[in-house]
Amino acid sequence: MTPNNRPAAPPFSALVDKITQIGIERHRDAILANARRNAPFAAKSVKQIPPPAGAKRRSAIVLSAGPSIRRARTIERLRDSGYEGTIIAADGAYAACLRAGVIPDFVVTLDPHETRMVRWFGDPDYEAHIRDDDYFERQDLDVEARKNAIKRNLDDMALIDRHAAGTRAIVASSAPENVVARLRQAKFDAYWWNPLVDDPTKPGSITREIYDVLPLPCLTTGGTVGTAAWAFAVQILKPDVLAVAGMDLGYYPDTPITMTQTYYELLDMAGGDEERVKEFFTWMDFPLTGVTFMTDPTYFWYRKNFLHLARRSPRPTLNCTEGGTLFGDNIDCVSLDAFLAKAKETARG
Amino acid sequence: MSDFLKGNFEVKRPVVEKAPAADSEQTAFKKEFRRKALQSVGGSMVFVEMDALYWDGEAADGGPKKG
Repeated sequence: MTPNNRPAAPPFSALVDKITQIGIERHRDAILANARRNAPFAAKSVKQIPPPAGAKRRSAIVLSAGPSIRRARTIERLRDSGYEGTIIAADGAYAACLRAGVIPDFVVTLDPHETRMVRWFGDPDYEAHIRDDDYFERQDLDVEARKNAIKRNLDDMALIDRHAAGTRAIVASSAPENVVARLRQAKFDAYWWNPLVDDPTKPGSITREIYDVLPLPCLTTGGTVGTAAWAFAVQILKPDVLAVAGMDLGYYPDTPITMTQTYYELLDMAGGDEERVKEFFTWMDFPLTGVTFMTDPTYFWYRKNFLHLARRSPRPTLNCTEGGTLFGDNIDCVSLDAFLAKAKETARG
Repeated sequence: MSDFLKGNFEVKRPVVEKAPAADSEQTAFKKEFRRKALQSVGGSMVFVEMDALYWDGEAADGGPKKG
């Protein structure tokens, strides 16, 4: 059953159960190969980051790239509030921050995809990479970006080149070659870590194999960069108050199913039947507003993982997304304004 | 096919059965497409549920250092 006691269709539950194994089959070779290739560049680890002080230690916010970041004007509201705490951007939210005049303290990157992820830092080969790939068209982050994607990519490259020195890059050893080259080209100050992908104490562990190539601290990822950014904050920065925003892990009710990120893959699994594809989605009411959000198996899997990890965090996480599907134990859903007020109060303390 | 050609006449030309190569290719393509489709819903990274959020090699006593 889903959290709101709405029964999920059997195809939905069956696919969620399979995702962990799919991930292992899909990523094993890439993450090992990338760790080996990245070893010469991993000069500093996340343990070498100077501990945050003052307001930067008292509060931190992780910005993911979910659709709410635009709809709720999260970055603009953060900027206008004069927020003084630490800002950690997932790679997909980083350029949007710069465009709004916000320079994050950290940007986190994780995904080993060899053509897509580099776009988040401005892709020198963007036109070649999007020729047969509508991945970015199915991102709901920014409609304007879709309309004028090539120009936006070039503008982002220039913007990132100007501001890279102001943000520390938190780079997973799984990062693909072109992301690492782009980070070096833009002159980011990079700090490295390994993804914790299985139990390193067990025989045949991939994590252990990566660690033997690159002895860096290993952080859990929850399967996605936003959760990895949260784990980085919990384990390395250890702020007194930690919030997340833009972490929808779902879609607004007016999003057409065809615009969801794995639509074509799910359509194929439904035998091309556009009605049956709905069996691969489920719906939940966000507790702060009562608005119903839709989620697909991948986002539901991310959600399940985050809830598992959040229970192990020493402090509650404030979810300021103002929508989506992320709610549960040790997660307090609050408005962004409530978090900003609390941050201002703790900054004085 | 040969089972269906039993009759009370002889065909003038020898019947050559078409190899089912085209069907097999299509089936293989479908299987490959499905495999790739399945992979695309697998998330950005591997994640296996465990209690630790952090691990940094072996502790001095040889045990794991978990966070």
